[in-house]
Amino acid sequence: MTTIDTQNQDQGPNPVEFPPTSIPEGDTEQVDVGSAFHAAYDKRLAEIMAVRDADFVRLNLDVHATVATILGALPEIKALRAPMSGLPGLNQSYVDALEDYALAAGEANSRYVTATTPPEDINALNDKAIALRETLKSDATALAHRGLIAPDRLLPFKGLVGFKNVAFELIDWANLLRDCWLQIQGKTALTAEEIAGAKLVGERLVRLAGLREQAPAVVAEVARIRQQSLTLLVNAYDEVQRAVEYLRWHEGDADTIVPSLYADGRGKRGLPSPAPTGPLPAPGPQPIPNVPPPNGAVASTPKAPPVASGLPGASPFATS
Amino acid sequence: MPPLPELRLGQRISLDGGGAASSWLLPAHHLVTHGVIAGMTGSGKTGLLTVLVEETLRARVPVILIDVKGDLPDLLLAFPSFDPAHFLPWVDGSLAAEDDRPADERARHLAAEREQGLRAWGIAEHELHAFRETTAIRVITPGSTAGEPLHVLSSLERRSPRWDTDPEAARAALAAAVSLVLRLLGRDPDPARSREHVLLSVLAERRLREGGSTTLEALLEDLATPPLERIGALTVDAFLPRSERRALAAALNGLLASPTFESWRTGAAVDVESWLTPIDGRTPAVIVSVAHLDDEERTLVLGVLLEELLAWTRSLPGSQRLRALCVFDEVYGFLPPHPANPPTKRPLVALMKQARAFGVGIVIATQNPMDLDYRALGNAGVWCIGRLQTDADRARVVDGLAGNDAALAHTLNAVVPRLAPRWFVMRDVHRDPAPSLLQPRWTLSWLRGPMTRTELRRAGAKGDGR
Repeated sequence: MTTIDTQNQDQGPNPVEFPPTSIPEGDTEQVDVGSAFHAAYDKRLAEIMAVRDADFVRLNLDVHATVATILGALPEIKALRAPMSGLPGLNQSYVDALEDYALAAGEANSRYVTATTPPEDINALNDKAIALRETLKSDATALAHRGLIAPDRLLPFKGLVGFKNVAFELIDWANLLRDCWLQIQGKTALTAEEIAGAKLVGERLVRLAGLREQAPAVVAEVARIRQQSLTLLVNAYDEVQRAVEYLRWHEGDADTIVPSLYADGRGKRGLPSPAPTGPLPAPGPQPIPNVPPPNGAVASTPKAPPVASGLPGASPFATS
Repeated sequence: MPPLPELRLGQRISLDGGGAASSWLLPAHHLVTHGVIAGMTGSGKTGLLTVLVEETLRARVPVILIDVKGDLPDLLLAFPSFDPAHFLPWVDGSLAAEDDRPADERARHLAAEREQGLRAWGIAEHELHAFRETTAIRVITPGSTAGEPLHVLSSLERRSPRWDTDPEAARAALAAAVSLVLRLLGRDPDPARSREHVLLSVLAERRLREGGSTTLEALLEDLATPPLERIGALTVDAFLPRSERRALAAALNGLLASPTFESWRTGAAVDVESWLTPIDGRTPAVIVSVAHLDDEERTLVLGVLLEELLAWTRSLPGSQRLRALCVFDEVYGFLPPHPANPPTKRPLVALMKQARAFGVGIVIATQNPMDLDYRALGNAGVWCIGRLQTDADRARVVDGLAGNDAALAHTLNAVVPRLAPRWFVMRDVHRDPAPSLLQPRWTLSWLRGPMTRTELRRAGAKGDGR
């Protein structure tokens, strides 16, 4: 149970128990701003940001599945932590940080999803926030009539429109009712869960409104961070996989302890996952297409050395 | 009527990278439905844009180039031959720092390399010479004397005949100029929000309509003693109190006294008509370079320029041929999606929606397709997509290119992130709805990189590089 200290000094220091800040139905995981995902993201952000573009892993992984696979493998990985510590050349910090990296990648992906959510979603969330605000206002007004909430505490609420206004008013309503919870508990149809949920909706609306204002710079930034965090995670998991394979070589069960992140067992930096419908060139160095240079010059042949970039006959596809 | 010209952009192969190559000949008039070039840094956007400009000029169609990065003036380095002497004055700073060979040796190496590359693309020396002889390249640098200075406030300080024929266009150009003045004063330049903007615009328009002087000095007098009683439904004093008018006048006076401000008021007027008129039979290319300005100044100056371009476009008779091309490299931030609304957006969106009927094409290049207003993408008939690595950017362009064709979207999603530099997925909706791969030819101009102000002066001092 999350415990929130009352701010109403008249009620003494007794803490009021609120339910956990659970996610309201219909909202997604990124709402949980106080989660372990969020904490790991903050903790590892400097390492994430240090990942260079040149080292990026291609995003041909399902991030949710990747994070879930790695978190699921953690108990068995941790069971091998002691023998791992004796392995020379193993990046021990990767092993210790793997859980954080997985959680941070989950958070980075959530932020990316939030930032790229179509604008219609913010409208739906705004409608929901307005409805919740009306509910809280209506109940708070009734409670004020009964003298359970000081009427002057309702005066700052103007019922303004606009995403941020709605969001902050909803948060303020939730805070007010939470502060008065000792007086109003059992005397209103409102529940503590409802109040906590309303506050989370308000917080999410603030975040979406902020992202909306700052897009597309934000989108570019969160996309980059997602790629950086996934790169860090995959590199760390690679390291752990190698260690487990070494330690469990004779048992031959490494794949069950640290399963591949790729459903079809392909390499980590291969083609993008959706297979093209047309006959795309194979990965790796491309055969030079049979491209006759202009003006009747001698055509290149597949055995010719690679043609310099920009000249007729150069490969259309990057080899790295 | 002469045949419709075609632009020889390079060679095309099929989207899977196989098959025989053929020349990509883009009919010039296909550009009246505008073009979008997108690709990450290093994908070759500026090179493709330069090829497009060179081919348009070879087709005797004038071009306006908007240069934000500072490298489009490289068009001045289209030398008439492969003689190393042309390269010699420019080799310093053009090669890797560790290249410590003597300058003349580097120049010889460069000339030989370019000769080899251009000949591989079937371009002979006489074509370089012809290009130089048939084009006239100018570099205009608003707010600076590095290139030709530009009287950016000419819409405000000089009466345009447009006030008699197209007052709405004249008013839009005036609003852009007033915004620039207010920005230079450090005040709110938003025409819809700033009371100072409204007052200055009303005072200036009154003078322009009456044919009187509209210098800033004259506007100072009007601020002190307004010749009007009301602005809208309010008295002038109620609209903008005397004390605030006095503060605005004092700020304007300070601006007038500033030596740096003088550079905004010198040089030729913003006159698209004269810019695009052939000079001694040579086709003009006018490069408006704003690389030296800060972001807000760029937006405001280009707002003034694009309003003028729009007004000129609307004054033309209808045409199905390409009459002029405007290319805008690195359009990031100038044509953003809703709700952002910089002064460049209105005229750019209007041009992309309306210029087709008048034979004026717009080509924009960006590394951030996510940042483009959908109306710009939706109106483009020619698409060139270089390597894009972020999912969001790719999704945006694939959506525009493939529409409801799921199979094509699938293929594009696999091809675009793997493209090598200087390769593009290209689609010309007028010719072939299925995209192909385009490899642009080498440019006739030596793409040396952004020019410094000193280098611009040097290029200009030689008479547009000749």
